[in-house]
Amino acid sequence: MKSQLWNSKKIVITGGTSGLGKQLAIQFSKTGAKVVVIARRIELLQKLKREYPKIDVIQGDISSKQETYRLAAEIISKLNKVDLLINNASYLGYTPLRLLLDTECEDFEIVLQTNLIGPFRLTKVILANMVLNNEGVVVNISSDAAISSYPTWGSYSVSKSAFDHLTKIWQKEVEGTGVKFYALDPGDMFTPMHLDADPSAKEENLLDPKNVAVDMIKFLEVGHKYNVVRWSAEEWRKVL
Amino acid sequence: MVSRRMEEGVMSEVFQEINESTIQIAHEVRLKNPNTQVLVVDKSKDQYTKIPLIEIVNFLNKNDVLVINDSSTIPSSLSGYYYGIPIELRLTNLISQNEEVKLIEELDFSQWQAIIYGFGTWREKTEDRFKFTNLSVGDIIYIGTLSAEITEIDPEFQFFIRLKFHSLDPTKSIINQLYSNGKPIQYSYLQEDLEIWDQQTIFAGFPLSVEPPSSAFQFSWSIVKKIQQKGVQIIPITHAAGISSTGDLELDKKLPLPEYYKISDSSAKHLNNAIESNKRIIALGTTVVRALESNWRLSEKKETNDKKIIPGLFSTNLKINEQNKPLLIKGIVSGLHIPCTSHYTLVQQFSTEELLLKSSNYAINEKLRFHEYGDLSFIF
Repeated sequence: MKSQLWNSKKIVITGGTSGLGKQLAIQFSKTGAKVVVIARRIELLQKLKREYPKIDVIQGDISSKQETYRLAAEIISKLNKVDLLINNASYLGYTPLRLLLDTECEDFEIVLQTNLIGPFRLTKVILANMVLNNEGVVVNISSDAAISSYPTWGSYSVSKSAFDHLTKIWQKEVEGTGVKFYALDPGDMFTPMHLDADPSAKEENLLDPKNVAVDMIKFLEVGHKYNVVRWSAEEWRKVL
Repeated sequence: MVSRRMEEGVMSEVFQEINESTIQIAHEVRLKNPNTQVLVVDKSKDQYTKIPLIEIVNFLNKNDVLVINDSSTIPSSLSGYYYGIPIELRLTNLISQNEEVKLIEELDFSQWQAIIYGFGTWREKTEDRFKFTNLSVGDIIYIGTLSAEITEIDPEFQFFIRLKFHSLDPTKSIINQLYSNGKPIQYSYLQEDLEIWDQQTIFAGFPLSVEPPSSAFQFSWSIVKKIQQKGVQIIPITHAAGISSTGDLELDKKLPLPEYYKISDSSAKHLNNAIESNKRIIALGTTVVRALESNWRLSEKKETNDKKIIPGLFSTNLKINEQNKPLLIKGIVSGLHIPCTSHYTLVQQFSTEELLLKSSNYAINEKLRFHEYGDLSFIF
């Protein structure tokens, strides 16, 4: 990574112990950015910390209201400010994926808590500081399931669709403050989550999350030039 | 924060003109108070009135600067055991750190001053709580997954201690453990338990205050937007709002204890531009007054003509009163304070004794609500 843009920038990534989140953490860390990863599983966080000592890790569940305030306090006390928040953590819901008619309301609720309400809360407590300082970027990781209505992907799809809309409204509300919001669809990647959803998926047919992370960082260096909030997997790659 | 001295029966001659039983106290948390009123006290016109909070924008000028405190409030009440006896620790302030600590994110959260109460619960007034007199340096207090070693005991007030926290879980930071084991300080006059989210203002950022910078409680971002649309610049600083009452009148006289504050390079630059342009600087809250006035006095001490706000991390225990009048700030938005409290003394420096007393009487007659969760005043 040659760009100096990220050197010393303070970046928070949720769900950063596997898949795209982990690769974003590694690639951003290589740029000289100060990266903090939030995830639920302590053993995966400790493994990440052992492998990449420069990455800071915080254990916590973003779907819990009680934990949001503790997480925000830990983040801000480590970094003082956040330049880039990547809301990447997400939950598919019960797997194998089910028809909506077979989906338990409780499971639907957990998906919304993790994919929508949790990131809303975390963003809310971090955004105030960004707005007051007239700078900061929030990236909400989206999916083509936010647009397409795939049977059995109901809970996840609804959560991502609402997450996109949340991102767009938030962008309108912070217009003129210097804060920028993106909803980015990374495309279909070879990740543990994708395999949970589709166990028959073949690696050769899917994107490598490492390459996606590298490209996404490049995109974030130029994305501010465009007055677009929601980007499909094809759209954001076109402007690289 | 409004001191609860009224409950303690402290009244001055001047205040005896007010019938204390008629004072309305806000008993509910901020979210249940959507119709906040502001007592506007204008010294230049010798006038006062009350307005809905949204209309505060009409009393601000295009070139004003509103300085806010963006600290968040930590859970500074910790329940634990001392030799098997249930106790409550109330953190009062972070202890001064190594002088090499220049950045706020380098602060060590393991060393605090604290009050230790025994027996009883927060529903009892702090002055009625049991206070230990037989503590020893080196004793350990256990609070869930935290231990606290007593490192110093105040010779005058035995229940006022210094302590060092140790996390019993090495994978977790002290700040993590404070949040996992603590609760916000509770107030005996409130009807319900306070949760951590009840104690945050809309500006809450760095976790540094032990009690909330409550003047901002009633502000919403839509009000902030209206203020900004008028051309008023909002500038953040971070100040560790300290404990408002210890439960001991003599110890209360030592308040405020040394409190950390931080002014970023960017905020210092904006403030210095504002000062140069002769803009009116207004503080949202008493903590902002202490931080800025203290900082302004730093450059005074340097005996240079180049007076300005200096960015950085500092500590202050400056009391604003008749002897230490505000030199920089021209107005304050704050809660409604009861005469004779230290906060009343502070806000009085922005007005005259007579006008503030008259306006306080008016606020009481108009049934405006006092205390942290109540209505506001804008004094200039």
